[in-house]
Amino acid sequence: MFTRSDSATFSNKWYPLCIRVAAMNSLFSLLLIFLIFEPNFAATTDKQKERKNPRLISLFPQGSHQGSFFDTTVRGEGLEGVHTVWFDCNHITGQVQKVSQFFIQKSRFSRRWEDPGQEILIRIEISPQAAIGVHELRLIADWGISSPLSLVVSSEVNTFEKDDFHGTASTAQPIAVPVNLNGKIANHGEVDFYEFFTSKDEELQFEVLTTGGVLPGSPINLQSPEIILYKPTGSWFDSQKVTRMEVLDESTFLPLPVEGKVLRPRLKHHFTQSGRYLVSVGNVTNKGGAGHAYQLRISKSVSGNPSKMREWTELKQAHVPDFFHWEERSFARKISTDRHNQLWSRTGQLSKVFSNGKLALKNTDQVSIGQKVEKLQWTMDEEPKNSQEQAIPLSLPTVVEGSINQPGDVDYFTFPVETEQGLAFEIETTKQMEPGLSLLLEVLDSKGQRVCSNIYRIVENNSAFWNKFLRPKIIFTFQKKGTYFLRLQDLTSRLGGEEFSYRVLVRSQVPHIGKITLGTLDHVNLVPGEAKKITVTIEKEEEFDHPVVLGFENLPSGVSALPSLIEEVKTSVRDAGPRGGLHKDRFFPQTQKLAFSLVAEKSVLPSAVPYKIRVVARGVVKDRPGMFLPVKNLHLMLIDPSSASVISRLTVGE
Amino acid sequence: MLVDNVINRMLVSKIPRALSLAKNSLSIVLFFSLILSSNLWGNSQQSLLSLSLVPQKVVLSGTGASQRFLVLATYSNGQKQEITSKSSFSISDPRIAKVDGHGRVVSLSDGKTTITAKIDGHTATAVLWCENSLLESPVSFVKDITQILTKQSCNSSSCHGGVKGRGGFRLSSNASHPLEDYEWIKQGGGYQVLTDQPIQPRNPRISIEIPEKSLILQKPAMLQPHGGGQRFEEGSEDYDVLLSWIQAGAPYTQPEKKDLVVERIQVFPEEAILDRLGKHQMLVTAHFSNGRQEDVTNQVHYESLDAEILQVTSEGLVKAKRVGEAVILVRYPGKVAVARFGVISKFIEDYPLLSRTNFIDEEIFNKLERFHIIPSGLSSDSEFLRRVCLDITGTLPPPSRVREFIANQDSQKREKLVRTLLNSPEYIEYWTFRLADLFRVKVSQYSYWEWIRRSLKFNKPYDLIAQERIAAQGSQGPSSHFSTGGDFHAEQVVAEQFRVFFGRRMDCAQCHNHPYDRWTQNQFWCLAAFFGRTTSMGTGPAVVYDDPLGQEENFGTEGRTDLTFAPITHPRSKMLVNPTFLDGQRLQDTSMTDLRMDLARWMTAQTDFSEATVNRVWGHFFGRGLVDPVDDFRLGNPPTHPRLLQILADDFQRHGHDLKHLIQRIVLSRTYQLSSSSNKTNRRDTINYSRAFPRALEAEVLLDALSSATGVAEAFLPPEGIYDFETAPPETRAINLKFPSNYHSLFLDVFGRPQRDAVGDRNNQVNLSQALHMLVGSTYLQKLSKEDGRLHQLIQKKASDEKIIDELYLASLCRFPSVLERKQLMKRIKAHSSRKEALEDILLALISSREFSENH
Repeated sequence: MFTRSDSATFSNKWYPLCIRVAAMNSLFSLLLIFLIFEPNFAATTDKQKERKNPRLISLFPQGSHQGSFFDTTVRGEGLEGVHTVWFDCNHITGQVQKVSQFFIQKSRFSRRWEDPGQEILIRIEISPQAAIGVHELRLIADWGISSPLSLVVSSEVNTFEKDDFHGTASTAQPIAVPVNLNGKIANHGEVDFYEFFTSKDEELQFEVLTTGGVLPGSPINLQSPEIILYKPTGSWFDSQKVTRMEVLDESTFLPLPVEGKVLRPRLKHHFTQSGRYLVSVGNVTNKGGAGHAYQLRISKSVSGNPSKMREWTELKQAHVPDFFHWEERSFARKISTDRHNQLWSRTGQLSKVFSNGKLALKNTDQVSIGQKVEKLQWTMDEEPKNSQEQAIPLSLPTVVEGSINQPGDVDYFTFPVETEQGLAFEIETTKQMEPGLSLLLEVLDSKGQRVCSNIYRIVENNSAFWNKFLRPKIIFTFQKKGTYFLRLQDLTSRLGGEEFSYRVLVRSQVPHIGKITLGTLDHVNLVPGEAKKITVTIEKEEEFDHPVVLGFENLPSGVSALPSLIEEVKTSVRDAGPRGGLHKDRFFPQTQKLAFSLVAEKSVLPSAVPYKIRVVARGVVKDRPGMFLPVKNLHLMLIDPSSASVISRLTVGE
Repeated sequence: MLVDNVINRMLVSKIPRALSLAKNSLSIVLFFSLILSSNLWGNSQQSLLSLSLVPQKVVLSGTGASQRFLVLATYSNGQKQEITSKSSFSISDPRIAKVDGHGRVVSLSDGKTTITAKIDGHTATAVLWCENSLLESPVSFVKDITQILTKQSCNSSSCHGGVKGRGGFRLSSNASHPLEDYEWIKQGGGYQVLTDQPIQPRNPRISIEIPEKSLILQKPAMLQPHGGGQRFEEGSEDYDVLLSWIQAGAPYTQPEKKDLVVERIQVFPEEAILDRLGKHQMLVTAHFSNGRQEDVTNQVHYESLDAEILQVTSEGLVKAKRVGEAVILVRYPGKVAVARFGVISKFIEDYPLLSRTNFIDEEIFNKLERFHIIPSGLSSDSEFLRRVCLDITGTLPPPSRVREFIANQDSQKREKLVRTLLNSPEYIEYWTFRLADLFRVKVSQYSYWEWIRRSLKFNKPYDLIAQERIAAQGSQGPSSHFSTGGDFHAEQVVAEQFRVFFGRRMDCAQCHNHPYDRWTQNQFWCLAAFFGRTTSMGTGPAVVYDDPLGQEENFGTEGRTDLTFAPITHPRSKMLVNPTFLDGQRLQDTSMTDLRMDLARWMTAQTDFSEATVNRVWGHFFGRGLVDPVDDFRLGNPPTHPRLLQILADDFQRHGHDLKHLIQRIVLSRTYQLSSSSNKTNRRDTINYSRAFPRALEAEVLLDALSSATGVAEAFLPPEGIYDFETAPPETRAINLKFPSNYHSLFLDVFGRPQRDAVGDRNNQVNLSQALHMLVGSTYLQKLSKEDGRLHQLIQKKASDEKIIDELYLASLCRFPSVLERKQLMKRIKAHSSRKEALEDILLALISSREFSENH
C-alpha cells in the first residue's frame, strides 16, 4: 500500500512535538528534549558535509505506459543538490519536483534513526516512442550520478494503487480487468486486496512483476511476491469470508528467497461463473517497505479465445545490447545454433565468422589466423533411448535436445572419443520455475561405469559435510579412446513431462575468454585530481592460457585509465586444497583479476551530464590481439570540487 | 458455576485458574473416598443359577501334564463370578487323573475322564483326555528355561533384560531372542551399544562340570549374593528344572520342533468385572504350532499396569483394590497377552436401553454395559455446537449461528452442521494447522505448508499424504522435511516417520532392542536403510533425491578414496544393512530403485497405519486415544477398545483413507455427542468415553477464540527489537500463521505452542503462568478495552444490559446465561458505579473461565 507509515519525515514527526514542548518550557528544555529525541541530529549535520556516493534505494510507482506522465517518488542517499533526472532513453524525461529528507526507523521498538536520506518527487513523461521494457533511471546531484533504478515502460495503460487502506478482503480496492496496476507492499505484513468482476467463461492470467534482478546494480526489494485469488463465498462462520481459489499456478514458491532470484508468481484461471472476485498481492516473507513495489498485471485471453493466452511478461532491459550478457555457467543461458560461433568469438582470435561486423566493434583487427569453426549438429530427442543398447549415436559437435518425458525417464546417447580428447558439455534446462529440471549428466564407458558427471562436491559447513551441486557445464579429458555413453536424467524419480526439456551441447573444448565482470560497479564520480580503482575479474575457460588486455573507450579529456596493482596473478582451480571442491577444474574456470585506476587530472573540467565509457577486452594469442569483447558500459561524471570536500583514497600529483 | 466465577472476579478481582483446578482435584478426592466407603455390591442377595467349568475340554499330554480348571457361577441378576476357590472337585476315573482342591488336574495314565465341580447343589463338568502319560519330555531351553527366566522376571527390562544387562549378565527382554539368551547364559557378559563386543569380564552362568555351582542357580536361590534377591528356593520346581537341564549338558533345543514353538498365548478371562473386593483367577494357555495346547498359568509372569486398582499374584490371582479399570499384562517367552478388568462399585440390574448411531456406539456402549457404567445423556445443542465447531474447525461460531442452531427444529440439524463444517474453509485452515504441527513445518518451509493445505483442500487420501511425505523428492512440498543440507540422519527420520504414521516409538531400538516392545535393533536399522540412500543436491532449496545404487559417489579412481558412499551400517556389527520391512520381507537388489516409495507403500498398506491414524484422530476428538498416548502403540500399552480400533481402522481403509469420512464417523456417533455432565456411574470413568471430557484448547485456538469472543483481532508482530522480521497480515488468525514461532507472543508461549523441533512437542499442560496471564495478561486485558471490540460496539449501539450479557455468553460460551446467572449479573451491573467497567468485568470473567478455555 502506498503509505509512509514505515518511515517518518523528520519535520513531520519530531519538530512539532519539540516546538509544543518548547512553547511551554524554556529554550534549554527544547534543546534538551530535542537532543534526547534525536540523538543523531548532531551527527546528521556533520554527515551532510561528508561525501556520499549517490545511491538510489526505491522508486514508486515503478513505471507507466507509453505516452503518459506521472509523479513518482524516489528514495536514496547522497543526493544533496539533486537537479537532473537521467534516463537511458531519449524518449523519457523527468523533472525534480520536490526534495525532502526521510529517516529509516531501525526498529519498530527503537527510537533511533538511521542516517537521513533524500526523498525526491519526480514528474516523468514517457513519450509514445519510448521502448517497452526496463529503463535506467538515475539522478544527478552534487556528488555526481547515482546508481540506477528500474523504470518499467509498458504498452498497456497503467493504473495506481490508492492510498486508502485495502489490506483486507472487506476493504479491497476495485479494479477493472485487464489492468496494469502499480502497487507497493509498504509495511511488514501488508497484503493488498483488489476486487474485480469477470464474465462467465472468461479466462484471465495474473502476474506480479518486480524489477529486482533485471537491472544490474539496482536494489532487489520485493523478492518473493505472492498472488492469491479468492472468491467471496462467505462461510458458515463469516458471511464476509473469502475462499481461496485453486488456480493453474505456473510458478511455485521457493522455501526461501534465494539471493539474486526473484519470484514472479503467475496464475491462470478459467472463471466458470461471472461475478465478483478478489486478488491479493503480498510477500511470502511478510516483509514490506518503501522499495517493495510491484506491478500487478491481469490480462484476458487473446481475442476472446480462452485457450489462447498472452505470453507471460518478461521484464528485460530496453536498451542494452544482448552481447553484454555473456553467460556461460547458468542453466538458463540459451544454447542456440549460434553458440559455437559465440564461443569462437571469445578465443582471442579472429575468424571469418565475425567478418560480417555483427558485433560492430571499432578497431577490429582484420588479421585472421583462420582456425575453422566446426559446424554444429542438432540431435533431436527420439524415444526410446532408455538404455545403453538404445542409445542414439551422436556426431560431435552437437546439441542434444530432448526431455525427461516421464518420471524416472533416462535418456542415453553414444559418441566416439579419441585418446586424450577433451570435451565440453554444456546444459540448458528450459524449465526454470520450480519444480525445475535437475538434470544429472553422466558419461559412462562401454561397461556402464561412470567416467564423469556434472555433480560438483565441496566440503562445507566448517568441514562438517560434503555438499553437492549440479553444474551447467563440465569439461573432461578422456584418457582412453572408445565409445562412451551420455546418460541424462532428472535427479528425482518423481518429476517428468514434456516441459522438463533440456539441451546439451557436446563439443570439443575451445579455450576462450569467459565472463568478465566489474562487480556491481556501473558508475564512477570523480573530482579533479582524484583516482578510483576498478577491479576486473576475467574468467578463462577451457584452459585458455593467453593474456587478456583491457581497454577503456570514450574517456573524456583529462581522464585516463592506468593499470594498477594486479590483485591476484592467477587463481588456479587446481590449487584447491584437500578441503576444497573435488575436481574443481572440471566445473569452474580459472580466474584472473586486474586492477585499474580511473584518474582525473586536476585541471579537468566538471561535466554537466555523464560520459558513457565502455570497458572492452581482447585476448592476445601468439602476439596478435584478438577481437574486442565489450564488457560493460560505465557512467562517468566529473564533479565540481567546490561541492566535493573530498575524502579520496588516492589523489594524483601530490 | 460460571456465575460464581463472575461474581468472584467482580468482588475479589479474579480467580486463578490453577486454584480452580486444585479445588476440582480436591472434590474428586472427596468423591472417591465417599464411594470407597460404601458397599454397593450385593451378590449375597442373588441366587446362583448355574455353574460352568473352563476349559470345557482339554487334552493332557506327557508325564505329569496338568491343567487348572476355573469354576464360573451365573447369578439370577445376570452377574458372573469366578468361584473356583469355593467349589469342590471330583474325577470320574481317578486312575486317569487326580484333582486338588484348587481345580488343578494332573495326568496319571492315558484315557478319558470327567471332572466335576460342585457348590450349593449345583454342578458343572468338563471332559479331559490324557495321552503319552509315560512319555517324558527332555528339558528344552526354548520352552522350559526361558519360561523360568520370564516367570521369575529375570529378563524384565529392570533386571537382566535391560539394555546392557545387569551384574555382568544380559538377557533379551521377555526372552524375545532365545538363541542370544543361550549364548549370554553360556558365556556371560553385558551388552554394549556401539560395538558387538560384550562387556568384560564374561563369567559363564552355567557350570557343566559342577552343575550345582552354576551362577544361574546359585544367585536366584541366594546361595550367592544376588542384587535381585531370592527368586526361588534351592530344591524348588524351577531350581530342579534348571539343574536337570544343566546336568543334561545344557543343550539348546532347536525351536523348529512344532511342539516347542508357541504361536500364541491365550488368557482367560480377556475381560471381566469385579466388585470392590472381588478376585479372579486367571488361566493362561499356550497354543503350539502343532495345535497342542498347554496350561501355562504357573509359567508366566503377571503384571498389573495399575496396581492401585488391581493386584495380581505370581500364580495369576487377580484382586480388586479400588474402583476403576486396569490391565493385567501376561508375559510368556516372546509373547505378551493382556486381560482387562473392571472394578465396579455397583451392579446395575436395570441397565437402560441406549440408542446407537453407528458401530462406534455399539462398541463403546456394549463395553459400558459390561462394565456397568451408564453413559451421560446427549449433549445440549449449544454444547454440541461449540464442541464440534472447535474440534472440526478450531473456530467459535458467531452468536447469530448459535441462536440459529438452537432454534432449529430439524431433527437432522447435527448431521447437516457436520457436513457444513467439513466443507468449510475453516476446516482446511484448522487441519492444515494441525498437520503442520504433526509434520513439523518449520520456519520458511512455505511450500511444505502449502502442500498440506492443498492436500486437505482436495481431501487427498491420507495414505497418499503419508506416501508423499515419506518418499518426498525434489525441492518442493514435503521434501523440505528432508532437505537439511548435509545434516541428514536416516535413523532420526525413520523413527519420526514411524511415530507419525505408525504410532510407534521405535527410537529406543536405534541403540538396542526395544526394552518395552518387540522391535529389535536389527529391525530398526533395516528400516533406516530405506532412508540411507536419500541425499540432497545444492542449497536453497536443496533437491532431495535417492541414489539407490550409490553410483553418484563413484567418481572414478581419483574420487573414490576421498568419497565413499556410506550406506547404512549396523552401529554394532558395522555390517551393511539391507532394507527390510518390519515383517522380515527383504528387498531384492534388483528392486532397489525407489526404496522410500517401497517403504511408504508397504507402511500405508499395513493395518498399523490405519490404526495409528484413526487413533490419532480419535484422540483429537476425545482428548484420549483408544491407545494413549496416541503415538505409543506397544505391547504394554493395549487399546481400551481393541475391537473398535480394528473396526474403525477397517472402515477408514475401506473408505480410501478419507479423513473427512473418518471425522464424520466419529462426530456423528452418539458417543462423541454425549454430554460432559457426569452421573453416578461414570463420574470416575476416564477411559471408556462414557461422557465428554473437557479438553484444554490448543494455544492458537484459544487465542483465536479470545479474538472471536471479544471481537478484537490479534496483531502478530516480530519479536521485540528485531526489525527485519515478520509481521502477520491484518486479521490473521493464529491457526493461519504458517510458522507460528516466527511471531512474538507471550500468550502462545504460556499456553504451550510447540517449536516443532520434535513430534508432539506441544505442551497442553495447565500451569501457573496461564492462571497469571488470565489475571493480568495483556492479551486478555487489552482486548477488553478496544474501542472497536464486541462489547464497546454493543454499548455504542445502546444495547440493553440483558442483550449485552446474552451476546457475550453466546460469543464466548455458545449458550445463553442461565436464569440465575442472568439475575445475579444484572444485579451486579446495577450495583457497580460504572456500567462499562461492570460489563468489561463480565467479559473478562467469561473469557478467563474454564468453560471458555476448554472444549467440553
